[in-house]
Amino acid sequence: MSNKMVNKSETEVLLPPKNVEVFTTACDYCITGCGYKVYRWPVGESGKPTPEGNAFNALYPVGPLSGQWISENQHNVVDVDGKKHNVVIVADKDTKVVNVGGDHSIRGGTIAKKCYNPDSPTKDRLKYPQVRINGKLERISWDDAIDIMAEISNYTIEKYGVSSWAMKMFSYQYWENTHALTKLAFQGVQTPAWAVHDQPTGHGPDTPGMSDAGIDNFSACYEDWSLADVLFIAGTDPFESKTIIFNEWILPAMRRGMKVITVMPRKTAGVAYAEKLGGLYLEINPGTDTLLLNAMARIIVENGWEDSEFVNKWINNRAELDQEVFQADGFDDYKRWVTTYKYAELDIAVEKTGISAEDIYKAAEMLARPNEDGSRKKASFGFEKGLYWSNNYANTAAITALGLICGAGNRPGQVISRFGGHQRGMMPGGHYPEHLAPEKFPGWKKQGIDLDRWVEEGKAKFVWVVGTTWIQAMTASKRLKDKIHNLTSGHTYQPSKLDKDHIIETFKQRMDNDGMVMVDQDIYPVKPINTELADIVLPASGWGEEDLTRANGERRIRLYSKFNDSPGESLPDWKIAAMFAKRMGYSGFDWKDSNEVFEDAAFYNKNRRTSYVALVEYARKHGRRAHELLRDMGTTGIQAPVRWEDGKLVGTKRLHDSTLRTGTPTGLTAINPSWLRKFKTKTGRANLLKANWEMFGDYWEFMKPRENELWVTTGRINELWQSGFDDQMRRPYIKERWPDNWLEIHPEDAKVRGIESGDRVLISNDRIPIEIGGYSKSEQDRKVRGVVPLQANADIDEVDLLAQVVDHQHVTTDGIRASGMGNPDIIESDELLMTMDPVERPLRNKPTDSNNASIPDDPDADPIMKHLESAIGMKWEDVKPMTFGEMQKNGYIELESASFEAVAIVTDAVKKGVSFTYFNLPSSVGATNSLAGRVLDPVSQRPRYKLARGEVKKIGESEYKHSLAQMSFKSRNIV
Amino acid sequence: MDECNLDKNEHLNNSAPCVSRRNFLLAGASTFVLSTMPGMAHAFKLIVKEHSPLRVASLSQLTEGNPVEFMFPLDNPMSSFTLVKLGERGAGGVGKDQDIVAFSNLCTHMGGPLNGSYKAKHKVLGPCPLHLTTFDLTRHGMVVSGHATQTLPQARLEIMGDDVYITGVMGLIYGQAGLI
Ligand code: SF4
Ligand code: FES
Repeated sequence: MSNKMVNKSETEVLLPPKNVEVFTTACDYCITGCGYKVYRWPVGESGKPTPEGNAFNALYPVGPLSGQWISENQHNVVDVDGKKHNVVIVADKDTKVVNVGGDHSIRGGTIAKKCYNPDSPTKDRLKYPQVRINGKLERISWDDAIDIMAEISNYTIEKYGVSSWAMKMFSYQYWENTHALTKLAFQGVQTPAWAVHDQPTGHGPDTPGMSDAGIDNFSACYEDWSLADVLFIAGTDPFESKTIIFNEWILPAMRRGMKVITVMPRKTAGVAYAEKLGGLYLEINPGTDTLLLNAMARIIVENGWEDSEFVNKWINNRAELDQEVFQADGFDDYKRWVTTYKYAELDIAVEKTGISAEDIYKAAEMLARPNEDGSRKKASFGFEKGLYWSNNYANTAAITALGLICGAGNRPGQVISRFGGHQRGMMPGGHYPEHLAPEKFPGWKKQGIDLDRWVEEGKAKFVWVVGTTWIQAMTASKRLKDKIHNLTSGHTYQPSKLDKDHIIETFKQRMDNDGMVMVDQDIYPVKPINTELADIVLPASGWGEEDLTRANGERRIRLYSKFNDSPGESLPDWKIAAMFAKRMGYSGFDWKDSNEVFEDAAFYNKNRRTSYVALVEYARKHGRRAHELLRDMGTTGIQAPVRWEDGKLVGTKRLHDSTLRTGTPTGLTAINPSWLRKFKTKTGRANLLKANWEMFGDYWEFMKPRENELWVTTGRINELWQSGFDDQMRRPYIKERWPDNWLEIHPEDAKVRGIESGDRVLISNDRIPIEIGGYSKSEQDRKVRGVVPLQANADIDEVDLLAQVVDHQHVTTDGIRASGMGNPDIIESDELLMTMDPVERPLRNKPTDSNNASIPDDPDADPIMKHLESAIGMKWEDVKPMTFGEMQKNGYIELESASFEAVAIVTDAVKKGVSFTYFNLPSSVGATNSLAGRVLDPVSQRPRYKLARGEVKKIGESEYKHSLAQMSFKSRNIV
Repeated sequence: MDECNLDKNEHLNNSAPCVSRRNFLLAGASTFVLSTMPGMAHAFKLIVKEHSPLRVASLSQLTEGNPVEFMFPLDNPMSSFTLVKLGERGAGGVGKDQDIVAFSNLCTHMGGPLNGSYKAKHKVLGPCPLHLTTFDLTRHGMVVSGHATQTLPQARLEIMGDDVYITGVMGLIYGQAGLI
């Protein structure tokens, strides 16, 4: 008997010894933002399973819920200043917030395996800048990479204008990074050719129907999800994708009696369990939420079940314009509309949603029918992408209106909010220069540049991609991929030797010959964006490799501590942006470390929901660094907006909180926007919006399955994070569970197609509508898309106005005078800028009547989405040219074909007629998003990712069908 | 003993457990060996702490879908197991149809008790009463849906005549500081 092949570390838990270094952080992954601790000590030592022998003071074995057990996936070996260290990374057992008691999901629970370790599957991290020579990436120095980028950037900005310089970036990967990158794009280059990872245009509200109603989409706190009597959830199962919000807040409340109504085409564990505990599952056909929500609102109003006390006090009663499409003139007007509007009829809802009349009625009753004694149930409304990425404006307007008439929106346990996807990591470094974007709605407001179309039209000459797969993350249109390939690695002009001048010259020639140069910045090789397409590939560092900050889904700010080296020459994104900006000669990028970026960014962010200028002011007053204050706050952090009152820093639990009591402001900057207590409108009352089906109905009819097709909808799953770059691709434990992309299909749909679990299937469609063109300035473009002449403005000597007002002159010995800083209106009202502005103003018909009730509160507006945010005041003639039918008639739609492969899972967890697949696994064959049409919401210019249809065919058997080693085909609804 | 062959193909195909008769008889307490079972994927889980065989069930009394529970080792109060005849081949399964398997009853998320949660229709253990994790017993305790950061520890079983014995456990049981 021998045990020579067995290491001790494989038979024993490596316990952190006493007195090791401990760092606090939060999980890198989903919106929940669970608190974590990193225990770090040099390799060689190990703790003992007795209280005196380990950092937890625990006697092993430990009991359930102890938070002290460490599985093999919670340990790793990392470099610290080049020396090997053990790290154990576990959810913080002592935390009282978010993941109370150290709860965690499988994603965050295995995050230790994210760390770079050359003896693990993370060994392929990008380590050095590279440039593509003769089609092959070769190592170059940072200096050379930045020189090349700066040379060609100057060239294109001068020759083709700022909008030929484009950036496509993540919106979430930490404030220091997003601040530096957007400051570069908006203040440095000042380009409108900028978009975030999941949107084709400049960053705007994800849920515009909600913003227009005056509700911040992250107004709730997690506790609110446990304080309702009835919780209405649409388009997500929090169990799957914001797991600890479910585990720690929704689940205990359900066990105490809270009823949960879920609207989904797919029943996963959270949905099934809610149903088991007396909740209601509304099995909806994709994209039909507006009809369901309108019908429910009608039932409520017809029965007089609305919360009239709330409605009388909190609903706006004046509309902006006579022909206004969306805003109701008070509750009475809404009532008139919803009780007469065709697309609020129960019959239509039943027909299109596939939900029975009884269930629709029951849902309305559960939410709003007063109790016998006349008291009301507390109802809350939470939703996510299944709702707002199938029909963006109308669905978000409809759910908000439904919530408002039920009395939700501004009280504990009575909230309307997004649950969230990524954590909130966008920290604007300037505002999107919408006046430089070429498109606008006829006679009305400006649109941001649709970067996908912009690239396809050959308008971009230089594109810098940061931390996104881009192609698969958007609608993965073949057109976009082919076009990018032709413009970059498929272009005639390719550098042939590793010589800086030659490379620069070749890139300039490429730009002059209708080509484009692409830089990609990431942590791993990503198919195809940097493996096949990008010319320059830059290695970034990430979580745990730099002190970074951001907020979670209840606006809780934490410091994500650095605890290990980042591999090779990789650098944090903010540093790369700053290096480039300085090389371009832009001012305001002289940061020495990430704390300086964090402190600077505070002033731009003063009026946003994540405001923390008070924290910075407090820190300076006390001779501290803002990051260090956050470090002291550990995994608890502080909820934004951060206020400094009665000498103490205080967090803000929820927004629009009519129960909030504030103290006396300390310091120079009182953080007291009206929307802390009221809704985010001029009057502080909310707008009821009429969710219009006509702006979307023609598209839905086109997208619904024909003959033998199925809906092909996409989403997330508990065991994976995002594009699987950490777990599905590089974590053996997770890869075993999900070795490949899959398709859930209902047993009846599977049977007629001869499909069994484990079969390999091909999902295809050859009539996928893609929105194209619009930038030619033709008569038609002008009329339909509102294209205005875009002047190359390279010869205008632009002054860095925002930087001037934000610089350090505002810092005094008493603290910081932030009033007037970072206010986006500084630029808007600037005479100088007005005269330089090449396009007509105003951008929309601002009524002069200052008493008008309906304008979103400008001073509180998000600087990055100013002028892009509201549909209030839109007339049907503004909306109509952007509807699918009109676009098709006018030649702006092309039909494309696409397909992807998957392993079939036959399960009744998915609705008959609907199939479900993961939204983005670059490791799979074909991109799942490619079946989604690329036709944007007419109002918000957001894609409708969740709507697709396709034929599903068996093409063989996967290797997993008969293997017992990998992949499980069990249903996800077993409760 | 001869270490079992760790060749990937060996454990992906459905070969019989490689623990030989001789190994079974010689197995002593508290040694770690690398073992393999049909359907077992990676090395970590192949590490087994060997114990003197403990009889846990009799074949003739086992019926499909009706689990039995047992403690193992007997002196460890925090280590209970569910043994079940799945009625379908399972990774690491023993018996004529290779469908008899046994797993730890402590959820590898945060130690929730899985006792009595076997779902015969689905052949899963769970949902865990704490946070609803389910484990696929045909796939060596893989998470179906949920939060566990490792697969559910599986018992290594052997059959002698009508008796089912446990001879070791693969994987770390929740709460323990090492393999048991
Ligand atoms: S729920 Fe989200 S934040 Fe919490 S551990 Fe899981 S992935 Fe991380
Ligand atoms: S302890 Fe079992 S799911 Fe959490």
